[in-house]
Amino acid sequence: MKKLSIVVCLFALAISSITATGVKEVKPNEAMVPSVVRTNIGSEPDSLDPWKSAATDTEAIFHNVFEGLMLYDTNGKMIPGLAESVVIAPDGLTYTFKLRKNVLFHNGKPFDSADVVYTYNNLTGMSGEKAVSSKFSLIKNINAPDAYTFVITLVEPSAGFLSLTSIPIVPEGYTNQAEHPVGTGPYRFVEYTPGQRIVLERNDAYYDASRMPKIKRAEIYIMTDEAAIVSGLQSGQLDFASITAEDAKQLSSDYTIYNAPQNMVQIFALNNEDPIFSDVRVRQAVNYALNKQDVIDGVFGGYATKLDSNFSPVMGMYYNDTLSGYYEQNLAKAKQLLVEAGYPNGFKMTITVPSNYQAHIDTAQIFAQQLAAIGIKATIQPIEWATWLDQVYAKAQYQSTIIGLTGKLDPDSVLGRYTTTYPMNFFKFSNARYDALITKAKVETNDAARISMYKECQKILTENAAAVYVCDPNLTVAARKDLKGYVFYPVGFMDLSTLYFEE
Amino acid sequence: MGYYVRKILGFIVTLFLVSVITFLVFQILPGDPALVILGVDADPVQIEALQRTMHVDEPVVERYVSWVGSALHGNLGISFRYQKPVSGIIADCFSVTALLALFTLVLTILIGLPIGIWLAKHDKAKYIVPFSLVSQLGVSIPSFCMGILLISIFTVKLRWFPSLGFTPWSQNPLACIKGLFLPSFSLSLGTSAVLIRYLRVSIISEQKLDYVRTARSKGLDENTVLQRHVLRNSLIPVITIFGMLVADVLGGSIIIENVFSLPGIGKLIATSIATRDLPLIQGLVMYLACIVVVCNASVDLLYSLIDPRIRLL
Repeated sequence: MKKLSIVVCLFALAISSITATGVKEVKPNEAMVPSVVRTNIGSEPDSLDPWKSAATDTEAIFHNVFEGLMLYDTNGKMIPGLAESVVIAPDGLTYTFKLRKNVLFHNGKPFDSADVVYTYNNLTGMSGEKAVSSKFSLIKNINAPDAYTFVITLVEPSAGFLSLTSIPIVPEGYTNQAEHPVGTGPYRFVEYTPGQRIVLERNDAYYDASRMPKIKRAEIYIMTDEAAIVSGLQSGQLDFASITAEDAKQLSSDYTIYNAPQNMVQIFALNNEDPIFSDVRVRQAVNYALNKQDVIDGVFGGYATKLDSNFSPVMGMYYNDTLSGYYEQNLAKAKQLLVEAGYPNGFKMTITVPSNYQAHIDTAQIFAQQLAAIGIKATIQPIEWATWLDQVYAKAQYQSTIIGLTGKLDPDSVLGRYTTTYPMNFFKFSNARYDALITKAKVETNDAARISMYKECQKILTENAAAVYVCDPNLTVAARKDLKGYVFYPVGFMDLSTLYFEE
Repeated sequence: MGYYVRKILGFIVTLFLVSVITFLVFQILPGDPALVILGVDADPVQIEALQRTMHVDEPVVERYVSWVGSALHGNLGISFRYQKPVSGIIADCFSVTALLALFTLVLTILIGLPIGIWLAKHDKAKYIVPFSLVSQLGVSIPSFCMGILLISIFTVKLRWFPSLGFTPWSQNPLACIKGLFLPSFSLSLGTSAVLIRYLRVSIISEQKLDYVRTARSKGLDENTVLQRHVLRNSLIPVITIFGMLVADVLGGSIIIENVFSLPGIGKLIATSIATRDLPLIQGLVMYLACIVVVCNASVDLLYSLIDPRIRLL
């Protein structure tokens, strides 16, 4: 008995001594500016190899490590990256990139046109291997006249092509990207512990002094649990993190809350091939029956932008603002449309929602209630994410669903989802005029003409009620008060280089 | 010898059945691993490229046979999700979970043993009632609730312990202990409540037996009777419970590991199922089966150590 109590005492002593030293360690030291910034990522990276990765979350982090010939700024405008300039020939077919000198990859290898040729050979499949991406099929020819010049010739002019050149350039012959990524960005990769964290460190050899990071090291914790993220912030273990609107209210007094539209489109998709929803009048009736503001207030705490087409206002010049308020809630009109379509007493329907997205489930609940007002009895069926991807997204075996699609810089990547031939067109929307416009806009090099084509595409989607476009939920970020410089991009990119701690 | 042969044969049959069942279940379950990994922003070419590495288009029987073939050579295959050998991934996570289990075990003994013994010695309603109330709470509060409560007190308010991440023992033992203290403490509250109950009942029923009366009548004092005679015999049912507790923690505390962001077996199980990472799931199922068998065998072994009358043969 005595022995036991001695052990207990010793253990208690050990714990108290640990915590005693711990207080000093964890407490932020007022006098010193931290050299590490700690944040979180909501999911495990899909692959560290940029050619094998597609997830927005992964891109958001690794855009700090990799760079393309061109980069994008906070407005989504293409700016010089590894190419210091680009000249596009008047015929719109030839792109001549002048490459930057004195750039080093993170493994010390100097960057030159051979790396660009290697990268584009693999992207297009000109290397003899299978093409890494389908987006580069319009490249006819690549060529490097000298060590710092790179020329791309396209099959046909493409206005969206330049935005594709933000794809990472990787060092020639380096095949270990999946284990240890090597790029040219302001941060270099240090380690990735599955299930735990990604560590990046400042690339002290970075070529652009204006983008040289101020913070030496970044630790990105892989955290899925919302409560854990909030307590991570509150306990000072995370310096900033993206959080829900709900949590933002709770944290707003002690943290700086950054809030901006994130170019996401929350969609209530109606399977256009479903026996009921194949009738455009039924889809319009659903649109008229709903009040999106209730979702914005009830689900996103007011932090969201109402949408009318598959574009967020973040898309800037491409955004068709004339559609605003196209479907204002109008129950009489909705009921009348249902009568015309042959459903005077409404019908039963199922909303299939991915169960890992609480916001979509909540939205479904609000919509189900609103639909009841015009006699539509909606049942909500939450399913697991993997099942959703398989049944709904890939096979379109569903009646209706709610999902958020992230925006892209190139409008074609967003609106192209609705073309009849797109393999993952789970809306099952099919419109000959729409398809023709998308094809035409791709090769249209006159900006004004191209913009008006994309605006027309949005109009077609809205008029045909291809889906219900709900809102663009804001990206809400809470940061400790002395952390400054957080900036938003129109695509998922968590720019670590602009962050700094106030002294 | 028959004992060991029977045990090992049973073990092999179990492993075989479990692997077949998992394999079949994952043929029925909807979900394409390549699609889950890459998500809705993937280029169709990328999805195809990833699918090629997974050989999901080959017939089921063929895939199962080739899996068994390489598993027998100690090769559990390559994880879809992490593109790394399954055995390495499980070993990494095991190092975290094993430490968590060890800490939980130590804390459970430190909390449960003295209290259990003390309660047995002081078998009076005025002690028992409040303790059984508290232990009822210990058993019924889910460990993740306790985890969140502990985080809000010790991490957010007091800032004594971290609540995210894991530092390996080899890197910094102190940081490792600090990181694992809260999760193992929240797990051990439940387990020690169970331990206390079993130990108390077991001691009390042992004390009524003849050999205890004999010991007392020899003139031994109460503490000696308890330590030399009663405790040893009371431990048999306790060890059984212990085996189950340890197997439970080693099998991964999915929720606790998520709440504390620990990269252990539990978190791995959740991720591997969500991403349909069949090779990894198969590996994990093998691991779990082994853990249960090893724990049961250790319990049998401990029986014979504590009570030499129990023979394994």
